[in-house]
Parts: sequence; C-alpha cells; structure tokens
Amino acid sequence: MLKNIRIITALLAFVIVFTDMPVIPGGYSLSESISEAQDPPRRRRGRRRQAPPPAPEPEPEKKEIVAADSEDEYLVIRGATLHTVTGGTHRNGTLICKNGKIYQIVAGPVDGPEGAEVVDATGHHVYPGLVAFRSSGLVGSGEAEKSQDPFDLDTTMGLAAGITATWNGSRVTKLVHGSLEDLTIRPKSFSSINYSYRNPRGRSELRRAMDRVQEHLRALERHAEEKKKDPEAKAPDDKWIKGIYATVRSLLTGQSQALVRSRSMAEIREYSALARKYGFEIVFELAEEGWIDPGVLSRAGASAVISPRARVNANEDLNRESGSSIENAKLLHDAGVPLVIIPQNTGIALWGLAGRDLSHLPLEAAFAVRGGLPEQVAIEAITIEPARLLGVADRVGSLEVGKDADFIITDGDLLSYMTLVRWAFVNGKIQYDKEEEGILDHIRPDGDLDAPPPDDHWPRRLGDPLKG
Amino acid sequence: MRIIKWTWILALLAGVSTDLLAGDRVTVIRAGSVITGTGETISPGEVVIEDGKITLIGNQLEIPDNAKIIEARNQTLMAGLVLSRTSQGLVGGRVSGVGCDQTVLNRWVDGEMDWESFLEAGFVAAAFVPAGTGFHGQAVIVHTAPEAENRILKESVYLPLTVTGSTSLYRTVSQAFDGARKEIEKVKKAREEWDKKQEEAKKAAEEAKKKEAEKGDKDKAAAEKGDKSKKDEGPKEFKAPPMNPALVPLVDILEEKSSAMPLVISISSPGSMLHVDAAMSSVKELEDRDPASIFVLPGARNGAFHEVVDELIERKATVMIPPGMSVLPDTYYRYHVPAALSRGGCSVISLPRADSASGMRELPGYLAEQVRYGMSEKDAIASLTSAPAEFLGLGDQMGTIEEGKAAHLILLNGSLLDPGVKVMKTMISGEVVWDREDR
Repeated sequence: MLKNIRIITALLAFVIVFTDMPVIPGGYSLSESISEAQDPPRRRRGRRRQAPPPAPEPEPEKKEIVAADSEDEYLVIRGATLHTVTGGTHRNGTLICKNGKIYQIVAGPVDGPEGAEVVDATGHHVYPGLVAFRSSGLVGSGEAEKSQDPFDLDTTMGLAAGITATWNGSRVTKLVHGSLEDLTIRPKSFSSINYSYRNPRGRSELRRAMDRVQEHLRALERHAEEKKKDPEAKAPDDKWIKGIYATVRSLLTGQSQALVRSRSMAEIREYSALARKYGFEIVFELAEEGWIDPGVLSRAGASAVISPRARVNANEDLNRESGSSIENAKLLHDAGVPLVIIPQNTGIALWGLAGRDLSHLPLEAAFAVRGGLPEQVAIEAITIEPARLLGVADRVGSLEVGKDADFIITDGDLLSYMTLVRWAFVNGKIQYDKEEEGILDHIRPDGDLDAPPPDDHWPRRLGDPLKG
Repeated sequence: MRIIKWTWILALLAGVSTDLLAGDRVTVIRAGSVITGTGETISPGEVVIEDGKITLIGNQLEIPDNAKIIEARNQTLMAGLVLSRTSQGLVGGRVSGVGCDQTVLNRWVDGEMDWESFLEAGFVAAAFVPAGTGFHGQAVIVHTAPEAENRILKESVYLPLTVTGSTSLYRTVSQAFDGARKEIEKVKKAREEWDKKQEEAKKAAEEAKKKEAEKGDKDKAAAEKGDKSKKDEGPKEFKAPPMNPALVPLVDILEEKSSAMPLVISISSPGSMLHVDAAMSSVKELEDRDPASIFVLPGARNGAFHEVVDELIERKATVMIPPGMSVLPDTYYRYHVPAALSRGGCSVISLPRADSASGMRELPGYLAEQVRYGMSEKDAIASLTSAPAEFLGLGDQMGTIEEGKAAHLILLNGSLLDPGVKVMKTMISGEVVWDREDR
C-alpha cells in the first residue's frame, strides 16, 4: 500500500514537472483536457489539426512523356494553379489526363504529348470537382443509368456550381450531360436508426436489438474458436436477424454507418453515447448545436454534415447554451470532427433562395471560413471529405494520379463570391463550358467586370426564329 | 289527279338522269388551283375522276357532256390529309405493358364514331392505335367516310411504344423481348422434339423392314400392323405450338422478318431517346440494328427537345410531331423543333396538338406558324399528306394528286396554310362525303 502511494506520488511529480499541464483543481480547462487525454477519439486525423503545410514552391521539372498512342486520349490543362487538396498547390502547374483518369500532375509548365487536347487555363484555378453529399434533382434516382434525364437543366446547373459527383440516396453518381454512360461510381447506403428521447419505446427496442445482436456476434466469435477444435460445431442461429436486427448487425459489424439528423446537442449526446457504447460509426446531419460540446462528437468518432448558414434560434428557457453559431464548423473541426458541408436546400432552385441551395455550394463553405474554419479545411469539406464519407475517395475528391479526371477550372479562388466555374470536366471530358452553355456566360465574360454580354448569348445562339 | 301525273313524270326523269350519271361515273372538279403535292400548282386546273380514281389532271381539258361537274373556281384542290396516329372516340380501357396484339377493331362502335370531325378537318384516312403505354397495340388505317363499306385500308401498320418513365421503359422492353425470346425457344424446342420423333419413327421403320427381310414372309403381316400403328402416331407435318399473340409482332422483329412492323416510339422528354437506345441495346438480338429512328414527340410542352434535334437529323429520323412552339426550360424563349427538323432533312409528319376534333381543326393554323419559322411550304403540306401516306405504306394510293391514285381529295377556300382557311368539301374515292354547304 505504501509502495503504491509512493509510486503514485512519483508519477504525479513526474507529470507536473515534465508536462506543462496547468494544475487548477476543478478547473474547466483541466478537466476537459484530461478527459480528452484519457479518452482520445478513436478516429482522429491529426493532420487536420495543423494548418495545411505551405505549398512548396516547386521546381519546374521536365518529365519525359511517351509519345501518345493513337488510341489514348490525352487532355492537358496548362497555366493554371492546381489545387490538389490532398497534395498541395502548384502555381502554373500542368495537369495531364489520359483516358479519363489523371495521369500526371506536374508542378510546372510542360508540353503535353502529341495530339493531346490542350486547355490553356492561364490565370485560372483547377480544383477537384466538388462532391455534394446529398442532392435532389441533379441526377436520376437509384441507378442513374436507367433513370436520369440526360438533358436535365439541373445537371448543367449543378456542373455550373462546380459539382461533379453527388449521392442520390442510394448511389454516388457523376453529373454528366447528354449521356447515360459511366454515371454511377458506387452504391452507398447509410443505416437510419431512431434513438430519439421522444420515443422511449423505440429507444428500448433499439437498445435491446443492439444487445441481442452483440451477443450474437460474440457467439459467432466463440463458434469460430470452437470450429478450430471441433469442425462440426453448430453455428449460432441467425434466422431471426431481420428488420431492425439486420440494420443493427450491419452497424455493429462496421458494414454501414448510421446517418442521423439531429439538431440539438441533447440528441447528439444521446446518439453519441449509444455509438460509443456499442462501437458503431455515426454521421450527424444538421448538428447545428454541435459547437456546444464538440468533444462529444469527437469522442464518438462521429462525422458531421453541416450547413454553416443554417440558423436555429437559441432556446431562452434553457439554462445552458443553445441555438446555432457561426463558429460551429470551426469548433467541430478543432475537436477533430471530420466535416462535410452542404447547403440547407439540396436541390437547385432558381426562384430566389438567396443562394442557399446547391447552386452555391462553395459559398456555404465560405461562410464556415467566415466563422473561423481554415480555408483549406472548408475546401476539403466540399471535396475529399464527402468523397471519404461516401466511400468514393479512391475515385474522386482530390487531384491525385490515378483518380478520375473530374475537376473544375474556376476564374478565381473557389471560395470567393466572385468566382464562377469556367469549365467542368467529368471523366476527362468537358461537361460544362461557361461560354457555351450560356446560363452564366453573360456574367463577367472572361473575368471582365464591365464587358457586355456576348452576342451569341444562349438561346440567341439557337438562331433567330424569324430568319430561320 | 293532275299533280299526281306530274310527280310521276318528274320521278321518271329524275331516275333516268341519275342512271345516266352513274353509267358514266366521270366526275370533273374545276378548281381555282390544284396543288398536286408533287411540286406543281395548276391554276386554274381540272381533275377528272373515273371509278373513284384520278385519271387526268390538267387545264382546260375536254370534258364529256354527261360528266358530273363540281364547280369550285374560287377554291383550292389538294390531296386529302392523312392522320398518322390517333385514338379518338375509342371505347375500352387503356392498354399497358406488352399487348402487341391489341387493335382498335373491338374498341369502337362504328356508328357512334365522330367521322364528321375528321372530314371537316380534311382527314380522309387515319391510323388508329389503342390508347395506352408500353407496347400498347398495333395501328390500323381506316377511311373516315361515315358509311364506308371497306373501312379498313390496312392492318398491322406499326407498333407503337409509348414511353412514360425510363424505369418502366426498361422493364417493359425486357419483359417484351424476353417473352418473345421464350416463344421462339418454345417453337424451336417443339420442332427439335418433332424432328427427333420423326427420326425415331424412320429408324423404327427401317428396323422393321430389316426384320421383315430376315424373318421372311412369316411375320410380314405382323410387321405391317406395327408400321400402321406407328404411322398413326404423329402428324405428317410439323405443327408449331401456338405463340402468345401479344408477343408475335416482337418475335417477327427478333427474327428480322420482312413483315415485321416498325416501332414508333413516343417520348415525352428528350432524354428518353437515349434511354430507348440503351434499353434496345440491352436486347442482344437487336445489337447490330440501327438505332430506333421513328419517334413521336410532344408538341407544345416544355422540354429541351432542341438538345436532340441534331441527333434526330443524323439518324434521318421520321418524326411525328405536333406543330408548336417548344419553350426552352425556365425561359420564355421558343425553339421551333418541327421547323428545325424539317430544315435538317428529317421526314416530319404533323399531328394535331390535341387528339380531338378541335385539335384537328386547328392543325393547319399551327402548321402555318412553323412555315413562318423556317419550314418550307412544300414540307409543311407534305407533313400532312404525302409524308404520312408514304410512312403508312399508302404512298401509291393517296397523299398526292397523281394519275392512278385514289380520288381522296379536299377543296379549301384558300391555301392550306392561309389564315382562317376552311375545308369546303371532302371527297373519298371521288364521292363527296362531307360538304360545308350541307351544314
């Protein structure tokens, strides 16, 4: 006993001397930092906590490019600033695509292979195509190859907003105009659970299901052990696993994540506690009050899909913080919660939502920057993070060699309110050209503030009806 | 008493005169101008009709004294209009799914059909299809005369495929062609079985012969008996098992028979065109076929049909389309799809904007609008006469005013494309079946 006390004192002395921890008994910051130290989030991306490393000024390097095979289709984007999102930024870089995939990213001007299609994007910026976590009307439902209207104006509007991929509720799908090929990237579904405190019966049922399935999974493990000794051991019965049990099993085995829409911190606490207890992955949509205690989400390993411009009024009846905050994104990010940003309205509306829909996805992210979120993180929250959450980060979401050639070329910084998409490429093909499409071609043509709209502004281009 | 006598004489006279006319069966129409539809306009012009057929077209022709003469010097004569798709006045429910055998023949009550409205609008023939979606039947072409003896001109003209949603399209196409494939296999199997049986029977007969030869006369009688019983077993010729009639036209398409009906595909959005291609290419037998090229497009509805105009032109498609302005989505801009298609070289067939009497009446007015926006006058008139007639396989009978063709004609109080133009007389096989003066 005495020995124990001695060891503990020695340890305490060591901690006080060698760490800079402020020791204020009962102090707020101490208890929080200790609780965090004791209970680190299971999934945390340390990299995200630091500011992105400054892009190394690259040495212009010359790479030998093998002469193009006649069958290969090359696309070269020259002169633009390449924002790879996951691999730094290259001023005056060159992006070379081959057969719809990114083939080379060169941090300097190089000549492309012979016969390549060359886009001179001097003064422009290249970003990976934006990924809208949710959408309605931009692509067909279900299997888009069989349901999409390939000439839907909403698809073009989505591309004009820089979106090249989105989740339609069951599949991650690309935005392609006038074609029905290569639309679906991958199926994706989340599990929905109801653990609201307004539904006590549902809560107890869910907990019971969790317990039962957990017991079943343990039985399976035991069975696997038994089988090593006795090959004829009987497997535990799993015929009862239907409905809610099947949902719970896919959650507990990590096959799917729970997608929960909850606004209030109280609900987020409940769900987070459940996720921690049973060890499943959880994604919060809305989460307007997440800023109040972001550590809760962080410790549960949760991701958040938020709309920084969403407003929830504070509840004056409560003796604690409530309501939305402009700092929501920043505080969640500071706690290590992976962030995805989408606007409140996930369609495209042309009747005056004041930009709070998918036609202004970058502005939604820019609003989070206004609240303190680093710009790089805001860009990640509309590119690589939704791609990760949707399980397609190996195909889209950043400019990396081998990924799909889905990218946008903008006439300015992505998060600036002045910036418009000049070209959008999907699978290495132009899907949107601001000058051709004519939805926005009369707004600052060539970046010029005072230029008049072009003569052949669409739909005048379709011809003078009287001249024929 | 005297009055009665006079009436007798009058009656006799009248009888004699009709007999005389009937005997000659020559009718001459003297029109202000004759639009032949072959690029010629004769004004003034005359058309001579014998036995319900056009025998002579010209100017200041010598006319037999006893010919019946229709004086229409202030009117225009042209070929009767042909309606290439309608479901007006049909009774019974809509067809959905795969029902290629459905026709309109059991869907109308002839006496209650409003033939007058067809004739008033100048239509002398119409292709009727049952209303519905999917493969909803086959088209039948009929005369529109109120009391026609041979109303049906042609059966099994085309197969309409009406696309409502892309999901149901894929379902319907796979259901239809999978079904047709099964029918083909069923027949094939039956034939194989029959062949097998035949061969077995042959072998048995040969063996019996051998035995006969070996055993000699002793068992001859028995062998003969056996032969007889075998002969009675199977039919002499192969009889195919009956196919599902709803699928027979599709079987013809899969087997590429010359009698296979063309598919006429109605789409309500431009994207459906690509979906139709995708759905058809999923049928492996149709892989090497040309993409579908006969479409029915909606006329006045919103829809970005300008997106597929180039594609339709490239396919040299036949397009049935109501003349009307398409509004570009979310704009007030109009794009004149029929005019653009016609200028690009597609065969354009005009349909009424609404499948009703008023729709048919208003059709020439809307067509004139397309002429204003770039469709040539010739193409516009052809889109209601020769183009549908040729598409429906009646090009040798109607559609233009030519010697030898049937005298299905209309007289108008002006050119078809003049504002406010009206049909004055409609003739089918040289008989005036509708006359505005009678009304």
